[in-house]
Amino acid sequence: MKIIEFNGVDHVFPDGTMPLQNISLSIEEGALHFIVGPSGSGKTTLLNLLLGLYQPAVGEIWVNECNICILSERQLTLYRQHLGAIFQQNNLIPHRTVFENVAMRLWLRGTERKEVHQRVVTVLGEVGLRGFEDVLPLHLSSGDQQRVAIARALITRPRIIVADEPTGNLDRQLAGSVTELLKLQTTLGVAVIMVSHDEELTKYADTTSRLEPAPNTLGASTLM
Amino acid sequence: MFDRNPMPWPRTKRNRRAWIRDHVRFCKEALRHMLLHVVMTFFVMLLIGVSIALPSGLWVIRDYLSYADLAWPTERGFNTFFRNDASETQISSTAQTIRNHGFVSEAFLIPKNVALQEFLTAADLPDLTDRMPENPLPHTLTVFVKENIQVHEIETLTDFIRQLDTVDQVSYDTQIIVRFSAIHTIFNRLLWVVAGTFCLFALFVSASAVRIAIESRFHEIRILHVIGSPRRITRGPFLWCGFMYGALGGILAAVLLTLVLIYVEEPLGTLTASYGVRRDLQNLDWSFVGIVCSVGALLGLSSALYSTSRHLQRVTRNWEI
Repeated sequence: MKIIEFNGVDHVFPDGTMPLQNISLSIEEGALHFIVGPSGSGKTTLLNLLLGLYQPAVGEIWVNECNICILSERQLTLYRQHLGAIFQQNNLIPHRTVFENVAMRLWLRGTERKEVHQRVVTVLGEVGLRGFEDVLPLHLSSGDQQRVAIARALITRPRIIVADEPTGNLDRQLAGSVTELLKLQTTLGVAVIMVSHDEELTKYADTTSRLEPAPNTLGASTLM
Repeated sequence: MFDRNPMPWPRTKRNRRAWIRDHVRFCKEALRHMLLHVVMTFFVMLLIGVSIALPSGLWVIRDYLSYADLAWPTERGFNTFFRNDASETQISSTAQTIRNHGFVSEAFLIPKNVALQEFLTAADLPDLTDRMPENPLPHTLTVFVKENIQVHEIETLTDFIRQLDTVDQVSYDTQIIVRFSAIHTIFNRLLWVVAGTFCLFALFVSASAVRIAIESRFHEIRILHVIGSPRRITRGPFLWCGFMYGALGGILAAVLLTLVLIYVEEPLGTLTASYGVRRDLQNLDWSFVGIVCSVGALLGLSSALYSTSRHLQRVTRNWEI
């Protein structure tokens, strides 16, 4: 079943530049979808559109049979609570412990303290960081910080995980293990949409889209 | 206003206990952040403290001086000199008439022989009495007017006294009183202008200090925004931080004020003692300390609210910043 669908989406920045043109894409539940492309091709912009951080100039974005382009800012905030988001850097709040960084998405929902504790410990175990609850992120390696970000994305058991170059700062081995961790989520029916410039990692993908310069445009990319 | 658009997923309901838990957590987090950044916290506190101490200090000094100011009117008086040919009975009668006037609080008669003795003692000429054929000084009545008597009313009183038969002259310099009154008004108005300027200064300094402290945590707002944190929850830790910066700044302001008052107590005490006022300056009133801390906390809180709202607006309008 399709859980994400882009229908002829164009995006225009306030300064008039158009990074994306005529993007049409559909992603199934339980699939790891890779978006690859050169730097500046609009990969991150595509994810930001999905996160509701940008509004498309043209086209529609459907998530779980709902057009997110017509949602109010308040609704988009609630919508984002149901997505797992992972970024390349600046993922974590430095003065919050690993536990707090992971738990904060449950706090947004008002989950009971006991349940928060149980779920955080469980999810930290899943990403191999049990015992690191009270550590501050800056005392962790880049790979472990990214695992904390993944744990934070997984804590609410979202149906969609959006990962923007989560392996960008990691070596090949760590990048592989992080991608495997995300791939594992697809077995639970989670749709993972991951942006990467590392073509090697596409071997983990169920489907892949490539952003390339669109013909007859000035700098805009489209999916090939 | 309800959002009627369909949502991809149903909204999770939060209970009241979650709200309390949020605030306990925000408070703890703010405290921890301040402890982790002790130097920055101290400087923010210092900025807020100094900016609050300036208008508060001015208020305390004004309050203190106002006692001296209140003491002054009771001292307002003038001398009435009697004619040399007036008999003592006439003088006593006239003195009683003046004492009975509605504007007069007290009047003391200084007989001419006492006045001469005082004058010669003051001039260090004790032997001159024997060589003087006659006492040249008149009988004098020192008249004190009641509190809240205005200058024009004193003039009415002196005119009344001048018309009495036994009175030779009344020494009352209206100009001095008018000038003093004008200086007093100017001083009071300047005090309000300076206090107002200091209050504005406190407002801007507190707002800037808290804004800078929050600016350094801008990426937190971005992270919270992207994971779907409502504005209320995003703002929470920052509001607590602003509240604590402000409250601690208020405490620091009270400490600074106490130190300054200890420093100026001696000269100020001498000045006010000359007006017959004795007041303990070093011990600030607890209610005053409470007001200073509350004002600080309110300043910190409102600055944090403004600053966080601006950052949230920036993030919402343009994610790429």
